[in-house]
Amino acid sequence: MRISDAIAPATRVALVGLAKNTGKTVTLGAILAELEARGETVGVTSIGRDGEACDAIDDAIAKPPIALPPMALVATTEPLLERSGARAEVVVRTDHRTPLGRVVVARLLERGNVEVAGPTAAQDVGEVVETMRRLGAERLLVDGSIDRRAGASPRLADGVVLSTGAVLSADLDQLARRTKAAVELLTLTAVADAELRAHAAALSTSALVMDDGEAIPLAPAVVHDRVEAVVPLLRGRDDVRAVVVRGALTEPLLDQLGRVRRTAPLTVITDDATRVFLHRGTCARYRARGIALAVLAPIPLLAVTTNPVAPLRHRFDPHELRARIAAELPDVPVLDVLAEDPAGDRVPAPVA
Amino acid sequence: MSSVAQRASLDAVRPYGDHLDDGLVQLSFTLPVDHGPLAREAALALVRDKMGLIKPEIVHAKPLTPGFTYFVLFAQCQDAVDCDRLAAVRTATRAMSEEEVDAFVAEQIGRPIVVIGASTGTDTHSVGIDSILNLKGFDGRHGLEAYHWFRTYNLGSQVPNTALLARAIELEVDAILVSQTVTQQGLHLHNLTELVELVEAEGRRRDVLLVCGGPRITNELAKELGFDAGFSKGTYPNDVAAFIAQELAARSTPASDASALAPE
Repeated sequence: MRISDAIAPATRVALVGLAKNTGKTVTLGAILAELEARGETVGVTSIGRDGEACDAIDDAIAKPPIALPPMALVATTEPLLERSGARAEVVVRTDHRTPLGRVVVARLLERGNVEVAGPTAAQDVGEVVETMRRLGAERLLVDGSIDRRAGASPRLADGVVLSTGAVLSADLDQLARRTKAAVELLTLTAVADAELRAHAAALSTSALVMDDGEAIPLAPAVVHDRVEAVVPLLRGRDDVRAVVVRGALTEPLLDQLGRVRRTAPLTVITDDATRVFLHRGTCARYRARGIALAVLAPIPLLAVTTNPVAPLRHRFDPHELRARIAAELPDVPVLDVLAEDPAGDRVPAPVA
Repeated sequence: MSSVAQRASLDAVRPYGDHLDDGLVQLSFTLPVDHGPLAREAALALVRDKMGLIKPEIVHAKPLTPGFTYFVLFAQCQDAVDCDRLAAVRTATRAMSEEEVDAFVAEQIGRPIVVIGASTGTDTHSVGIDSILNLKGFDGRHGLEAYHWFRTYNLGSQVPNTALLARAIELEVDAILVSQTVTQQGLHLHNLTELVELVEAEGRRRDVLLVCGGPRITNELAKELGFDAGFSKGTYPNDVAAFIAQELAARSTPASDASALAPE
């Protein structure tokens, strides 16, 4: 299996990394090359900046360019497009302003390396993706930045490619654990009960949902800051069926919810996995405390890519890393896009 | 005496020493070698053969402790930079004084701008955010607190992102300012991206300007992090105020050429 096979089901694909230098740009490069070979017209944007010559923190780290084929559409800023020197036709000038200039949508007239920096806000990303689709892009690629997951929102993307790599840890076991925990978080499943799902989706604010369907609103300050105020609301109330959080769900609130002793497990519902923020804890840790995380819109994970190199630090054997991550994630294609045999599944060719 | 200095063309800018385009640079560094002829030769070889400079000259050499020598050298740089190419990716914020910012806000926005700031996460450095926000400011320039048309809230240092977010929502702020000491290893990057993601998760990313500042923060890094601007050394409170005021004004009146140029 190759990366283009893995992303085949999704028209809009988001690339997300678990950290800086996990290999998002290399993955994007592999996707672009394979889709070009298939004759597909692509549209590319980045929620950050990609295709730059060297790292913004450590300029000793050289970064791969983003090579776009003729007719590809790209959303980037006007100055960056000019600087690329590639012949391109600006089709739309948008209102989206970034620290690197205003975003335009352009069509390449020849092959060129382009630094890509599209709009930042998710809603604006959705707009340029729609524009590129209208202009003829058959496949839309939204590149992420550092460890940002916003591009993976189901409102923006039909599927996600997640990049993990050696930069996460010099210890293979820890790297595998962290990757697995991140995948579990990103792929939170949909609320199973259709009635509860519909009820949660209809709420306009965060709330406790009771067994009888009643909803008790939670103030934003309680959800984010004065989280301990949630405990008395729940104590002794086994008829609280779910906590619905409209917006960001963070660890302090989850920790308070975990303090309440209950006989039945508590479901905590968010719009999608990009709204859930864990740093110390994992989904498994909260599950052990009787808290099940669920979402209204799940994120399809199309593939995980592995990068064996931590720039200027350490490296793993590429096959060993890929195989180790694949063993942790049996349900997802795990690919090393730079390997001749990306999925490690090729049947040895008969000797001619 | 003429006060008009001869200026180099900005497409090939070289260091200036005694006269235009002489490319003279001064370097200082320490080598872990005992003071003596070998250390001097090492310093010259490093500059001449490895740093790409020509005509190195040692103007000062001093033993520090046994095994270490401190050098000051002059050398000549043969390369030039094209400022026009660099300027292409700079944002077009017009420089304004405190008075000019206040006048601009009064005219273009017509209400006070609400700004909240903090040094987030485990970062204990509050000097950056204090110098931008607090009345005293720095280098003789007032912080935003002194501006007539700004309402400022400084939460201090080691503020969790969630607490900053909660206050920002409560105060309905126009801009969130975060100062952060980004290290070479990028240790604090996660704090910065998390704030952006929290604001996005709340569905408020379009309603608030996110500004970050710190010694290593550039516009390029700000864009990667998902911020609207990044400020570093050499920035004064009025630069930040000018950016916020002009950006808010620009966003409230979309540019007229934001349209399709080609028929669909």
